[in-house]
Amino acid sequence: MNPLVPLARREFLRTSGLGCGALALAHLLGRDASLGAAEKKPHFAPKAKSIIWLFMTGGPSQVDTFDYKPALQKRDGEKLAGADPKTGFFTTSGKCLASPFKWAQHGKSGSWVSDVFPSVAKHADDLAFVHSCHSVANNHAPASMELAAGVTRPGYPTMGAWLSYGLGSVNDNLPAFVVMHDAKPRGDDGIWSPGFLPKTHQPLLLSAQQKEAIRDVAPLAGMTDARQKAQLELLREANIDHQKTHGDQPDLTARIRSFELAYRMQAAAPEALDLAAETEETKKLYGLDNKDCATFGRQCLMARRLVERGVRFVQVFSPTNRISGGAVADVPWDGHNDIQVNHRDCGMMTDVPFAGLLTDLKRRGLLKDTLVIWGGEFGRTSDSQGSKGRDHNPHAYTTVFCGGGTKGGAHYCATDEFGYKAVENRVSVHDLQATILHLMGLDHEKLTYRHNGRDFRLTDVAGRVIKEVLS
Amino acid sequence: MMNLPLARFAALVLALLCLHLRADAQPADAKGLALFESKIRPVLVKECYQCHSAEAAKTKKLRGGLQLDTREGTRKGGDAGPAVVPGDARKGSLLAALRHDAGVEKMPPRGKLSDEVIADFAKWIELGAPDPRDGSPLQGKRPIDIADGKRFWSFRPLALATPPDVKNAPWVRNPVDRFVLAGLEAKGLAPSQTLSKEKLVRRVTFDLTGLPPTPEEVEAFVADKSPDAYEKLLTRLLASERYGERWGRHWLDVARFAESGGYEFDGDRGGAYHYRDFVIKALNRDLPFDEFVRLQLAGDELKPNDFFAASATGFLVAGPYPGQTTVKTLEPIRYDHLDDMLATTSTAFLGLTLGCARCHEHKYDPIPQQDYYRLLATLARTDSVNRQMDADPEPYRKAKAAFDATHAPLAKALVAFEKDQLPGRFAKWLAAEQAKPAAPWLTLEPTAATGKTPLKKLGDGSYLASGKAEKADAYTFTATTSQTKITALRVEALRDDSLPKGGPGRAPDGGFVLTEVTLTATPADPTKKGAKAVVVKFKPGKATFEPGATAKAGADHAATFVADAPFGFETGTTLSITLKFGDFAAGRVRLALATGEAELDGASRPQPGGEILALLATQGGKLEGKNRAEIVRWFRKVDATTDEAFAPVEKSLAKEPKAPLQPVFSATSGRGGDVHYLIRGETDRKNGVAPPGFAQVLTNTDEGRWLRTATDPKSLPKPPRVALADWLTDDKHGAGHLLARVIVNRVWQHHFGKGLVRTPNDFGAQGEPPTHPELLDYLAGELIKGGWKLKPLHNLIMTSAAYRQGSDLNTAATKLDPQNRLWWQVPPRRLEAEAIRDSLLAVGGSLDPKMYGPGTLDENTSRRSVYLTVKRSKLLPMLQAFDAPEPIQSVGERSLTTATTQALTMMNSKLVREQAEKLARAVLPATAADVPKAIAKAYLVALGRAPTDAESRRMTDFVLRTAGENKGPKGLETATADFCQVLLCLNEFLYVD
Repeated sequence: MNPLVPLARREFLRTSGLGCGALALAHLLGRDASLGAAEKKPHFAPKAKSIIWLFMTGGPSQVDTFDYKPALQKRDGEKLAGADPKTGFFTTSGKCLASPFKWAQHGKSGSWVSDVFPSVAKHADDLAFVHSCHSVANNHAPASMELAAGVTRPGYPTMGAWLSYGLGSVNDNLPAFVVMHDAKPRGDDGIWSPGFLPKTHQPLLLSAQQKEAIRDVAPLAGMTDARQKAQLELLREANIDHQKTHGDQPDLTARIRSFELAYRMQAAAPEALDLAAETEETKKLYGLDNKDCATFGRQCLMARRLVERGVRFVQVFSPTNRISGGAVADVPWDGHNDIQVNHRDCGMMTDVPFAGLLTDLKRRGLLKDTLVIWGGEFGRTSDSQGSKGRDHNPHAYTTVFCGGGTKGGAHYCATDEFGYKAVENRVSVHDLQATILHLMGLDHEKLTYRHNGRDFRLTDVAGRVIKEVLS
Repeated sequence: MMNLPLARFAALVLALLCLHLRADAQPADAKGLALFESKIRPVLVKECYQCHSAEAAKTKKLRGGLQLDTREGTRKGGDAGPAVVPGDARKGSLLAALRHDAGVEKMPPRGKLSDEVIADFAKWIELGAPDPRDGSPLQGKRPIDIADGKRFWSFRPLALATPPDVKNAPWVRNPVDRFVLAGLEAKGLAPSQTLSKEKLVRRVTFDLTGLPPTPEEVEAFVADKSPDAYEKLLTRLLASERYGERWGRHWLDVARFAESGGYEFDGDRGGAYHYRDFVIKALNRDLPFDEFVRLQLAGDELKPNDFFAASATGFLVAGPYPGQTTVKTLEPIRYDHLDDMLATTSTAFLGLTLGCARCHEHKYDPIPQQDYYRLLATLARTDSVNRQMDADPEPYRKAKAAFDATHAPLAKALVAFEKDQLPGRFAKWLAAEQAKPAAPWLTLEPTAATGKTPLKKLGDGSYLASGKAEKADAYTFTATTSQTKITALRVEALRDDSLPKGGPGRAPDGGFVLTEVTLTATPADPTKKGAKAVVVKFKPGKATFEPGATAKAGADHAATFVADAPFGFETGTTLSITLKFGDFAAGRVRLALATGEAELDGASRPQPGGEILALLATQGGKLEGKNRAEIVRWFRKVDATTDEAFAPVEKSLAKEPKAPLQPVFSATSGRGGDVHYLIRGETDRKNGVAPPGFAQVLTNTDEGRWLRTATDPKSLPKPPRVALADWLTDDKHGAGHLLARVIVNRVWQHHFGKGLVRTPNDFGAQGEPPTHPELLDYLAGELIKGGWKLKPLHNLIMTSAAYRQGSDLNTAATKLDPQNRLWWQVPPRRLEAEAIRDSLLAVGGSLDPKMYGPGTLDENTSRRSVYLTVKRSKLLPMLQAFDAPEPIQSVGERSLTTATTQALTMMNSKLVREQAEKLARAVLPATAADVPKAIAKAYLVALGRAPTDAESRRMTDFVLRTAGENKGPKGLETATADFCQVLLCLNEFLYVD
């Protein structure tokens, strides 16, 4: 940290009499670099300003959602040539399992979408499908960490933290990185932690199970606004006195500001998450009136409100499933025993909110610079586990992009005729990450952080921007 | 075994040979060239270039270091060696890969090429693989020159420089100052003023204990005018047990300490906290640092069965480990686990980023990939274990010795009895028993009988109920038997004069109603494989009363229950029999088992005889045999003399002391085979077994010195982890000099805010060089000279004038040396998360000084933060907000952020408010006139100083104004608490000068 702080600003701060009431003045001060998360310039002009990532933990099946395979449909129960029964976590049968869902083509692009996503299908021409994704890990926690941080082990900075580090926040009152979840997804903090990046880049965690409450954001019961204001005024005066004897210490200055910002955040953060101001029509659009999808709907709507207010990266994890089909609470899409039962339930919980989010972003003009991502940590096997389930499949899965500079209706690459393995232009997790950073105006090779003697990157030593899905 | 440099050398020789051949064989090439252009080049372009070309290298898609788009690249090959050996189709990796030979990576990955195409390649290679493609191949691997590497500053031996001369000699307090001052004087700078005593005692107390000094401690030091007042202060603090807690936490960052596995499920490691306790104790005892290191790497080998030493190895296994594994992930996970151990070891002790050499030669430091795998091999069979150990074996040893002394004569007497008397007594009894008439029933002798009412055992094997009669009661009897073909159970309800109308029931009319009989049979040895309890099903039996109806009073009754199938386990059975009664219970109950015909009124005999006979039958009718103990147990019931002979021994054994064992999460050597060299770090690309060895750049003698138990090359190998520890701590021939530099730097760092080397975890080429190399080496030399003890090192650093500086406003110095690399000041430092939390508890008067033992996840605990359980998925929000480290990789220096979440914690968290309220109550003014006094007191507690007049006035105004606006009985208390909370939020509280 550079111990020299611009003198003018410090002098201004000392002399301006800036109090908690003088909020407008705080804005004039600009954002203090020592606060860690101030806005920074991207490497080049970005296509997207914000990202909403719908992270479908558990591993949605590509062949039951967006990757239609007629051969698989025809050869149900027949031997799947080249199938390795130890591909996933359990053992598979080696026999083709046709998708139990109804498929149809949608939009001008003629994109195939299964009836797991009837509402999302209406947006087919806005979606860009990357069919050839593959992962290294074949189990949830390591694969989720791989997708989030590029490494199958915990302890590395995740994409949200990298974006916060690379771009900072455009809103002083809100963090750059927000995570919303229901049951805590598998992989725990490793899938959203800032790893070895400074803690300013950790996400604000909002749990549906705690009604998205923010810790310590409200004054304790018994404290009044007047008293707290008086406390902060006293604190500021005493701190400025202290600083007079301490010379150029940027973090002392920053800390004085941090209390003022915190005071404002007390109002701003709850406001950003308060859905009372939304119209009934909007709430309905997100499915808030439908108990099947109200949780995810609420979080998607909050996500829109957050990106509207300048939050860089909002990650919304799949809601907790109600019917198992082989999955447990922290891996909702994990349809080991019955793909139909499991994915039908997961679809009911997410389809309307996902589609509603796209509609809402589009009509507000936000979709062009908001990148929406849908996907899981890996795909599922084309052969069956038991008679009706599918096991984990690291060799193929589909990731869907929408808006934020991506090409609607595009289908990039392909899996084999059974959807078992990505064969054409295989897209690694690092390629996905490079592409996402690129859309945000960051060169994945230049976004580095020195830790224990090495310049680390989100994409490690790999990564290719998938130009083919960019508009 | 072929090691890596040799392989490279071979490749080079072959390439040279090929060039030579090509020059000589030009005419014969024509045919081959034609073949290349028509059949080979198109296939290479279509099938291989995507991952094996200059283009692929540019787009980061190059695989295996192999470039097939130039002649040189094709010949040179990649990680798997030369791709093509001209003239010899049996050699080279290309053809093997195309043919999908066993043990090589099959190419292309999309599927095998046709046999014709493969035959073309074979033919082309046999023709000498003529190849017209010029162009330079990929930049070769960076050659690592070990001898050159040894000249880098951190790998050099310690330079034992004499402290330089300085102009301002009076400023110098010890040799440290000469190094610092010489640097300042060379730039024309002066050091900052010495800190006031008031601030100094605060700095020193925080530095060594992580807690603020109490007002009394401040006062005592300020008042102590003796010349050695400061030295006495240091001595007191270095002796404080708080020292180990403070500095232990610093080390736990470096050791990526946590008490759970991370990944999925984040399983708890119950015995992991012993490592934390080891660190604290070692520091408090001033265990020499080299020994501290040795125990952490090989305590289990160096001191087998030593609790302290085993706890130390928690270091190796503290890293994360997956909670779910599959067949395909086991091997990579094992290498990840070993990598975590090695990376942490090298970073923590040597400041070396060895993990970088896992996939390739180290890009910056002289660490060949080969060294990485040889070092990894020293950890090869290391795994974690929860070992059951006694923390303090001495009391047990003593108690056991005392017990043995008293027990021995008793045991001896019993042996004599068993030899001299038992056989005769048994034979006599047996003859009598066998003479008795056979009886189908065995009267059970339960080991326990319970019911709602007390059940008393009578001489005939029956149980008599007493106390208040319950209408609904249930009796449960527990018994053991060696019978294996039990056919039936008989329940006898007997008359007794103590019962209403003589019983047998407890109803006023002497009746009872038996509603349900349940018998559960469990194998007596529950550890036996497949040992499972069975609930025995009964057919309806016979009874002298109507089941479910009241029986006739004043007479004995009985009912039999015949099992669906005979039951009883070969190794003995424990029976649990429950009798449920509806309308009053039977008052006196006796149970019997049958092993054959089960007539209701069949004769019965006591259980012991039946059991003994059954047991004897399994061993040829002899007392000696596998069931002897069981036979004797039954025999004691029928022979009082035998019972009396056994009783004292039994009574004594019941008092035998037990060692208080507890699980210690530690390292052990066992599971996992050899470590292999891995091409590009990939576990499915093994390249021979790696033998244990060390980093060549930190070795100046034969490795056998550490690897073997004696100099003789034929002597036994040492346990490899012991060898690693010996190499690491060998300051003459091994890595000890770097080890000393690294720890000395860490100590300096925590006293000055920054290290002499600003990258404490990287002493390599990517790290920063030391600000004062001679000073670093001087301190390292002093550490080694002093027997690796850290407390004298603290003392040396802290008694320097350099350490006692404040942070003057010094424009010249700020401009010339903004990074303070010359140490012209000691800037204020923000307290770490734990120190903030502990200080809050301390000033609130809540801090619980309890040391050691299991931690807790409850952040409301009053214990010091170092005792909060570190669970990887539940890192405590308050600590995280203030930059507590992610316990995944070694952290040498925490980031220090300033964030709104921290401010929110200070403003709105229960912890801060509660401590503010407690402080307020401790200083509470009785009336408005007392407010200034209360403020002064609170300042002393929280900030270690009295307020200035201006401060006192400002704070008094605040308290009175707030109290005035918030009238009521608690107005003044609330206002004081509001003021105290502001004190705790002050920069002066969160930063130490």
